[in-house]
Amino acid sequence: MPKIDLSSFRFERAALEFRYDNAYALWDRAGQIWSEAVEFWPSLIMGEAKPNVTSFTKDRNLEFHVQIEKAYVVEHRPPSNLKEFCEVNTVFFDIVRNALHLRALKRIGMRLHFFRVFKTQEEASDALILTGMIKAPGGKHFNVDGPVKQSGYIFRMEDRDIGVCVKIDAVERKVEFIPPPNTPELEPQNIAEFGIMCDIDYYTCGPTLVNQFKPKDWIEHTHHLIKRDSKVFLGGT
Amino acid sequence: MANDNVVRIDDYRDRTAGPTGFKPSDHVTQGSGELRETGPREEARYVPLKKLYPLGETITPDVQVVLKLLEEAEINTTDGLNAVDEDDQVSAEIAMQHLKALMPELFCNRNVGDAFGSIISSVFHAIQNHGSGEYDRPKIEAIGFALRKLVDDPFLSYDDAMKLIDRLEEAGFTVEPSKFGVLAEVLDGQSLR
Repeated sequence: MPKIDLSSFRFERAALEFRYDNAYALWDRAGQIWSEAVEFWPSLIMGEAKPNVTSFTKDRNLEFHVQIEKAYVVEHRPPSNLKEFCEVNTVFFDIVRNALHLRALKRIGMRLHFFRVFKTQEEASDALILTGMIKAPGGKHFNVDGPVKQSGYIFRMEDRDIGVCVKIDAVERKVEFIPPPNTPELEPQNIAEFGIMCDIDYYTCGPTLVNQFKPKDWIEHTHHLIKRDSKVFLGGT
Repeated sequence: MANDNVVRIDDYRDRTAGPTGFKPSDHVTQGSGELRETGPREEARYVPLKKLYPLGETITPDVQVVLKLLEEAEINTTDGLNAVDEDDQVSAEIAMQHLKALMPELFCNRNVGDAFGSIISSVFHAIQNHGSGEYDRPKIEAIGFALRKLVDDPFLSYDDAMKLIDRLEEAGFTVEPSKFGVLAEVLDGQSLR
């Protein structure tokens, strides 16, 4: 039975989120948070600045968000070792926890996205079905006799403390860019891409003391677990 | 002129939620001149450290080493308590000496946090300064409580560490190095008179 290995996927996105009880101190301390962040990362560019939602970006691949009830960092196309992701989260978490006087986190979650390109959506769907994780009925059904264009599955498993959600889909993704009328030098873009998206969300089910949480250690542990165990969900053993 | 329609946010916040935003789980009611609690405060259950960092492999050596050593330390304190309950001071002291032997290696991993290092140092000096004195249950319980807190919360704050060290002192331990008193006097200038 053909297997799909995670190593053949492109590492698309890594996100680390921590949730807390409504931190109204954000209304007083948003400026302090971002002033400290800019000292560490002078190239930060402000995205959003509303009372309950603030966000900045760095170098077009890193996003930082602080809201009343959660904060998160997203890195797009991260390197496989997540080195910079660990470093920025360590600094960012310390800034946020000190400014908002956090004592406990309601939930910590790390979500990783991987993508493997195929020529067509049908090819992607066939490759997913061939892993044996799902069974597609052959032949004509509902008076439709055609290839399976889309397939996928989702598993969510939880115990008292930790949960994981694995979502694997054969998808079509489109990027459409229509430049403004007064920019003749820019060409419109219409890019379509087919492939298998592997979305793994690993999270805590119970509260965690802020003092127990070390982002670098947790990211490394979680990343290692995901690399080790994800092959089961791609048809491996 | 005061505006009666203005509600102080602090009053509202104090009435509805605690500092972390959690609503207090117990409250005091008053009736017929008698104050009584309506129920015990519920302890929050936090994700255990071993579930948060589950890997046996030493990807992060300091956290994993510390957890293993603290496990051993817990066995020693349990042995010490059992010995005290059986009125066996010799076994209690042996258990405490075994515990003391773990402290230097724990202290080598104090990069876990300053507060962590302070507690380990305090436990070490508590046992060292105790010498051949008798151990009682409150003493060993104070040590066990401090070390168990480190298992649950190795990155605790300095304020929380101070509370644990205070508890060791209240149990009758001296947590500073034995020469510390002399140094304190010198710094105070008393010996220069």
